[in-house]
Amino acid sequence: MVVNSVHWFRKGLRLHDNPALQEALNGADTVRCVYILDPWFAGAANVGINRWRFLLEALDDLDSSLKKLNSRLFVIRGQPTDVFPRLFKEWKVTRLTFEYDPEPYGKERDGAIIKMAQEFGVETIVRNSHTLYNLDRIIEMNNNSPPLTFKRFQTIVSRLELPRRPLLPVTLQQMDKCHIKIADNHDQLYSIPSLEELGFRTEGLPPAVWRGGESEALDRLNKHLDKKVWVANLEHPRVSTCSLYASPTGLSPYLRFGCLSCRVLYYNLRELYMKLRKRCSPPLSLFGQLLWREFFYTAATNNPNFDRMEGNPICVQIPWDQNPEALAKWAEGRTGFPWIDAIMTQLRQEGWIHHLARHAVACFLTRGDLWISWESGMKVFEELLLDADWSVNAGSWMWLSCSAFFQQFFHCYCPVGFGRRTDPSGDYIRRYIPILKDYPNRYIYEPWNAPETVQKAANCVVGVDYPKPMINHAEGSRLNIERMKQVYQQLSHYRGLSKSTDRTDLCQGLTQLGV
Amino acid sequence: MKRVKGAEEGSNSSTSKSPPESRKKVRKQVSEESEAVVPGESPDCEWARLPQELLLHIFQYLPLLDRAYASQVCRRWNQAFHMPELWRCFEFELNQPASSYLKATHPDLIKQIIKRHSNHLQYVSFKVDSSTESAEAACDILSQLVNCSLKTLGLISTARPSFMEVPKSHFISALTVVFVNSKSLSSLKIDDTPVDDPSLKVLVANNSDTLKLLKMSSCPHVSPAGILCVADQCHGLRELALNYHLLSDELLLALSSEKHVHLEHLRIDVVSENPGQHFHTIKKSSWDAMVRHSPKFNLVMYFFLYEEEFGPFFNEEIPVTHLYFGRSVSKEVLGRVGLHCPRLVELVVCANGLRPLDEELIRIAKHCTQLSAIGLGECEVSCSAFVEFVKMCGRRLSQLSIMEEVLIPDHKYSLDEIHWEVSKHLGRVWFPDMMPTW
Repeated sequence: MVVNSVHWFRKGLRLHDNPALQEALNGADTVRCVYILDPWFAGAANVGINRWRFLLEALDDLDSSLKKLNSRLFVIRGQPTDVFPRLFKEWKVTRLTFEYDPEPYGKERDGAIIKMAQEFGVETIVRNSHTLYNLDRIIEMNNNSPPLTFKRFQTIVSRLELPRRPLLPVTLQQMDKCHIKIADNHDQLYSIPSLEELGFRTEGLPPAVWRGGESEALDRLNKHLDKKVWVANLEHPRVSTCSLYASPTGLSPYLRFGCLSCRVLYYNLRELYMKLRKRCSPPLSLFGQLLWREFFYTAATNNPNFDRMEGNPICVQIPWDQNPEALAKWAEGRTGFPWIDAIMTQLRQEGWIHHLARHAVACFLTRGDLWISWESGMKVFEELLLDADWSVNAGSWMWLSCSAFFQQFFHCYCPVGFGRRTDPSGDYIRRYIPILKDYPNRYIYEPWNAPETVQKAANCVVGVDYPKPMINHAEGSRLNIERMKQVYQQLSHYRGLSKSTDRTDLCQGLTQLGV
Repeated sequence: MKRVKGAEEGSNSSTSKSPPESRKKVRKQVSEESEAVVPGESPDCEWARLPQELLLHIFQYLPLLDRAYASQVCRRWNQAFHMPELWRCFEFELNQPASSYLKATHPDLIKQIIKRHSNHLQYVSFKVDSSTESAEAACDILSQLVNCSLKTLGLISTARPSFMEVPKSHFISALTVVFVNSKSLSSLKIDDTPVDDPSLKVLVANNSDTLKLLKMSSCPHVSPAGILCVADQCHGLRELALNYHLLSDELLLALSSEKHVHLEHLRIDVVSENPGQHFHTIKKSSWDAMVRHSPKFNLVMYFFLYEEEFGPFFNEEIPVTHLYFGRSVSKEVLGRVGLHCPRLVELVVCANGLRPLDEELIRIAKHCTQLSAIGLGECEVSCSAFVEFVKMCGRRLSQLSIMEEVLIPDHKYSLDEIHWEVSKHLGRVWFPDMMPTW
């Protein structure tokens, strides 16, 4: 029997550690690797130019790698439900493979495709390699519900076996056995679209700070590990000014798109630790970034409402304000708070910001200052942030706005003080808000407090050249602490009719430790 | 009721041509029903004949919407729905779709309540969103509560304080309706509203015997004299919340006068509008008088100041029990807190800076012997000092909240080891708080 395989790339844009792709190759007569994208969707979807560029670069990299294996990537325009029937017929497909997508939307989409494939007599093979563990197993071990505290999650994970070892990359010998002749018009039919084709304007677009693709990812991985050795400290480095800038060893966008296998990262870290420390097993804290990602994927996998407040069983219902004007100022970096504006500018320009910067802007938008829903912030991040997985993005926003997982709402980041403490030199501000570059350090985080002479000397008058602060932070945070307390006080009451007095103990958040 | 009917049909139609499955179902219903029905009693209209007191009791467990559905079932249930006892408490939710995600109380329901139940209402609150429309709607309802004898009134803004946007006279006249008509107000929450001295006088003139709780933080139109009038006349006042600019020595002395009951709870917000704001001081003797008169009272203070504005504070002993620093506070001030706050029970520090708070924490552990809750935000503390602090406080620390990133590992302890040490001294499993890193 002839086996014609199609491997469907969605995330998992790599040839290393790709069990589903290996299944496609296994005993097959032909293998074609496809990526399906809908260019009409590009304009409508909440995806900004940096994310598209990263994806297109990743596809280009895949194509180059496949070329070296005498194959190509087939990029097909359209929707999977329309595309696959065509392909199944045209290529006489008998086997379809893809990497398991644990996100609720992905599961639904894939369910429909598997059903359709059955109708065409196509065998479907799905393999899990986007997460370290089998998420259903974690849920099972926690009495059939996802852990809602990170500590609980770590406890459960520590009882599991190690993640499955990563597989080797696809080899030329493997591909040779399933060799297909690439048509002369392949580039016309199956090429990767350009940004212009997707409707983006590219004149004046600065080069990408984060280059997409598996090759770049693996290169960065090596540098990342080298850096760890050099620093000889495998623990959490304290944040310094320089960590605010995009790091050449940063890996998060590559994990999101699957250009880098999370298991490859895991095992590399593990082996490095064991070599350096000559100890038996590394602490869980070594895998911080990976485990947070896993935590949110686990929390989200069975909750299709994970990305909204209404109808989301784990999300506290908070009476956020609807204020499109304020939201726009925040999203566009026009709040009048240089620390916030610089961060949002870096995000829009480059597609990545440090996690403490994320905390600062998320707090400012939601429970700290503007009292706007975390859903709005999440959507802005979804558009601009390269490493915004659906699960991780939604989960982090809920966490930072004290809507789920985390209840210590007293902990508020000041848009002036926090910035000043993170980068006393103010250089980060000067880099991303050049109009403020001549402000002295003393006033650069709060230019509205600078005397007129200073403002004029810096050629930047607040209210004219740079916006006035959109809110009084002291007043705003005072109000918001009260609002959060109202919400949390109501949680332990019978909902609906509440009687008179509540003893206002200091910060209800303190008198209810986490979930 | 359906079941009962089914049972009757089943027993009467044993010769009917219904398919086997439905006959089985009907038979099963009959046998279930015969278990439930007390032998000898007629099976029909049981539910409608429940005594009103029972209905009332059950209805009290239902949220309003479910109760409303229940009221549509039959006349008796509808009557029960309107019993006065079910209308003692009500929370009016006033939201506009353009400014809020939450649903509002239905306007028809509001009309019904005013028409049929306004004289039953005793505990009422208004939750409004950030739009002026919502606050005005609240004022309109208030103006109509002429037959009410309210015990509790709460005006709560869930986002930006929209009561401040309502024309002052409109607000005051609406509020005054309640003050004048209730005559038995016990709790009043009017934070962030344009209430003023004259309206407080009206409040006092009509409710001085009953007023126990008054929350009026951030009411910019009230003066120290206005609040003093309340303290002088309302001798039953037990809980008071206001801003620091309204606090005076006279006020504290009035609250400590012999005629006055023991105060239980005093909350003070110290908020700076602009840097360099000046704050007056309160004499130590006034605080001492308060403590003598009400030895168990809680003094809750929220500070939202710039670092350089703390000059007037913590130079002498002050009986504060719950202390919250909403912005960055210096090491030096925290050092003074350690020396001068012997009654401290809860301490929250949002932010401090990048110099470790080691000595200050140890001093607080030593002198603040009542401290049972502490929260540290964006600060720095060395692991050793933190362990020492916890050791000194011991098991009295029922709440200990610190961000993991605050702790600085040193030669004695790493981050992984610290949670064991701390758990040991606390007598329970403890972990620092975490934030996602991705």
